[in-house]
Amino acid sequence: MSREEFLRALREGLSPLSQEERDAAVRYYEEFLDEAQDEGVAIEELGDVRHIVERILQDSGVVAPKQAPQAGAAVPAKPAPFYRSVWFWLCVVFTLPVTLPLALGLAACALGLGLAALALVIGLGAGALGLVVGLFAAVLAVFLAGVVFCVYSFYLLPASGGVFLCLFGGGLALTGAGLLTGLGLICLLRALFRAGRRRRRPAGPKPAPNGSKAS
Amino acid sequence: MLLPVSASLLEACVLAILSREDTYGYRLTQALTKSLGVSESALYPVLRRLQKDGALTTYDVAISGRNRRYYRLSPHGEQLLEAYRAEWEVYKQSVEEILLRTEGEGPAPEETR
Repeated sequence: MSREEFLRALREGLSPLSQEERDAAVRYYEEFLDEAQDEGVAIEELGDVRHIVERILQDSGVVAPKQAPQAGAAVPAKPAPFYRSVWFWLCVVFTLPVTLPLALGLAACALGLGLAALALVIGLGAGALGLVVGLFAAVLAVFLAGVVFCVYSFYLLPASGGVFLCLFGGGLALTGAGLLTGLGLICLLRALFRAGRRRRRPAGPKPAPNGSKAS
Repeated sequence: MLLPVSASLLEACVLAILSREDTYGYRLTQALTKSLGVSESALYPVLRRLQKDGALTTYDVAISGRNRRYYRLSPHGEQLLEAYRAEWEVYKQSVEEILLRTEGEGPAPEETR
């Protein structure tokens, strides 16, 4: 093995280390070979590069030492989690006659509750929508009634000026009231809609509870 | 060698050599491999660790167109060496009491130093 081969193997072997650590080691062995009177003999004496690399990696904690740890320092092996043991699965199988109906019942309950919640939400939504539509319909009715009164009053004009004035005035008042309440309703709805959006926005893009962390 | 030198003992020996004079890696290796039988590859990790722990410092001396890195004991290294020497006395005595005793009774043989 030539000097270049030795140093290249050393550098490659130490690639798990930081640049600084790698350079320090390569520099040390470069100097070592420079100092030796016979480079070939020195490389031979240094022995297997892999062994040198291993020693350095072990010392920097990158690779665990090969020899078994001493008895005193031995770390007790972590017992396998219970859910992986045979006993757990045996328990599962033998309690199935009891747990299965129970689980099914629980699942049915959960499903029922979920459906009820969904129905509630849909009902509330439909109710709100109905309320809005109803209000608009009422406002529209008042407005249309006003218009109809105004138009109809002209038919009565030849008969009686007093009735005409009364009807026409009433019609105008109704039309105005319908327009104003309609506009007010629209403004109110927009304000409510904006408030709802603003309240939701500060929460921002909330991370899903089990989102990316799930393994 | 029948009794291998442990990493900490090698560390102590490096500190002891450096307490007498600053020296460089190759000479240090020569001094230690000849007498203690440690492998050539054993020394660098010890030197690097001592350097990182601040027990020794380095300086470069230009020699025939290149640099030779000398190692020098720091005050912390001197303290470490003293601790190792004290520890060695205790260790040596304990081992000798067991290893060198020839009689079944009586105190351990007096140290002759």
